[in-house]
Amino acid sequence: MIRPTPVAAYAFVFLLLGLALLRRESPILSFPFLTYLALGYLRAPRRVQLRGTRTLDAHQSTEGDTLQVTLSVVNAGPALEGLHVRESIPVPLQRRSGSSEAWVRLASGEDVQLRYTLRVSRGFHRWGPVRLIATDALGISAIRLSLGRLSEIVVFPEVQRLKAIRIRPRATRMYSGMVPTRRGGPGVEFFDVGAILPGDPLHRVNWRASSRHLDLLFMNEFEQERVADIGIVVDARNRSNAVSQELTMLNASVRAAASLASAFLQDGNRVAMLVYGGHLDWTYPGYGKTQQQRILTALARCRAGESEYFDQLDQIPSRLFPPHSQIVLVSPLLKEDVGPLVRLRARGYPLLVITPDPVSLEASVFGRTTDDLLAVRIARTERSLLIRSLRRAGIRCTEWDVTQPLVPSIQPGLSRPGHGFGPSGSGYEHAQPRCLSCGGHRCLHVGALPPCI
Amino acid sequence: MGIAAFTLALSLLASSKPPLALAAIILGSLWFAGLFRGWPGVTEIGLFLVVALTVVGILLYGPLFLHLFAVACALAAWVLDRYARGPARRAVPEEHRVERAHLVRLLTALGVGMALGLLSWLVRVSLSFLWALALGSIAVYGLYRSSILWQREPDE
Repeated sequence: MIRPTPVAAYAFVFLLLGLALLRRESPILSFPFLTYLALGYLRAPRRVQLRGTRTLDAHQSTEGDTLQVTLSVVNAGPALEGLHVRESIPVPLQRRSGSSEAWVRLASGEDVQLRYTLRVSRGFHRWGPVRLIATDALGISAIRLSLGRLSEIVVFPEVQRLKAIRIRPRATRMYSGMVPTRRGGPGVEFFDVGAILPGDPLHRVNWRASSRHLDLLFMNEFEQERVADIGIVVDARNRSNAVSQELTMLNASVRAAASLASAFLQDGNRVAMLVYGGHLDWTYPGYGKTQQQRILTALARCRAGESEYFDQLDQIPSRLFPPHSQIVLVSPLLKEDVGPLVRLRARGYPLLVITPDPVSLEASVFGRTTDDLLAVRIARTERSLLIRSLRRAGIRCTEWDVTQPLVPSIQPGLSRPGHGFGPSGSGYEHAQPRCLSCGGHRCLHVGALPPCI
Repeated sequence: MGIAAFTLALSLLASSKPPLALAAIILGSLWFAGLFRGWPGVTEIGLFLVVALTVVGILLYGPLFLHLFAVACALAAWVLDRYARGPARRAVPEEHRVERAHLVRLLTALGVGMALGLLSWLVRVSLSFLWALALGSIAVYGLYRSSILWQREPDE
């Protein structure tokens, strides 16, 4: 597009100079400008009739996938000497190939097609109408119009397959599942030895125990396995979610929550989810694939937010969760979160905290100066103390270095038996001293505090 | 823009003003340098300076044809630069078709403008000051009204 204003301004200048100086050369010099404007105006598009369609090759996708978009504009009116087609791509999506913009001539009945491929990221993304500018060949006169309906795509977070997650909530539901209940009955894990009752199958008799008593027979009891109520809480508070280049703590938390929900639902549990940030986004408890879809949809729309009321984790509405049910918190954790979490634990909710490590994320973009390294060491020390204090309160904590893949990082911590009722089974045994320079358990850094092994 | 500067320099030399001719040559050189180095706004400034030097040339009674040619060349350089920096720069499926049409229209417009200019130089019509003022005012007002019409929203 050429803006006609400067061209007209120069023509003005020459005309006015001609009048002011009473010299006829000056208006003559405005002729190239005037003919340029006049020709543009004479050839301007008078009537524009365009039809456009946008086709997305999917309306639901998973983060990191590619999406092909085809935009077709048909000229149903007279020929257009210049047509600028511009598609506004929703901001977080990145174009991988193809073009979302074109400048073409369109004869009557002719069409133009734009094809481009996007790399999609989590969220609900909307395309607005296509912006079109019909111009003359000189680009002087323009008719601007918008075309097409809104298009939308939902991009779910990536779900990674976690294997067994060992949880032991006090309360379970009545249906068979994978969660040990601390009650004898049908199951696979040995639980206790008890006196045999009429009708019990003989193959369950514990002959070794029975041989010690002349008049009694004992049988093996197994631990019942049931489904449990699990509430997943995603911390979406702005101040706890650091952002570093493309990677955000919230995205990491969402990915972890999606994988955990999927794993729990596959084991037959009843799972609910609460997004805790600027507001509460509650997904009612449910089972199966439908519930998984509901949770993924809630996670797709999850955004970090700020609220004075929900600034502290104290406001987690624990009554949403059945008493003694398992709560899984996915949060980068702040210093002041210890108190609310300990209180929640004291109310009888076994807590499992998956904590993406913001220090490693921020350290990855820091420089390597002495001051930077010292800052990272101090931050690691503070975080180490925070996690220790949670573990001492009987809260299972699994740290995740978000620069590493999710499953290998958290699976070992989740597969270990964790009763969640005291330091012995609280995962405290994993709290080995970590090197404050590199974060590893065993390294050869000299001068690291606490000293490396 | 280089041709415009060179033509202006010739015109100013013809008016016995070598320092101004040198200024025109420097202007052309700076435009070339700016084009290769990607200086922002170099063509806009170039067009403005060519117009300013042309006005000086008129005041010095320089040859009109050279001034007309210089102004037309500077306008063409400015339009082509704007066109190249505009949306046409990005991916265009039928780039050459649109570019060729644009170039043909531009050359036509400037050719017609120069021809009309020369014609009006040859044809002399005596006008009183009031007539000239009235016609000039009508031209200025018409230009103002049409510049509003050029940018308009669609009827449907």
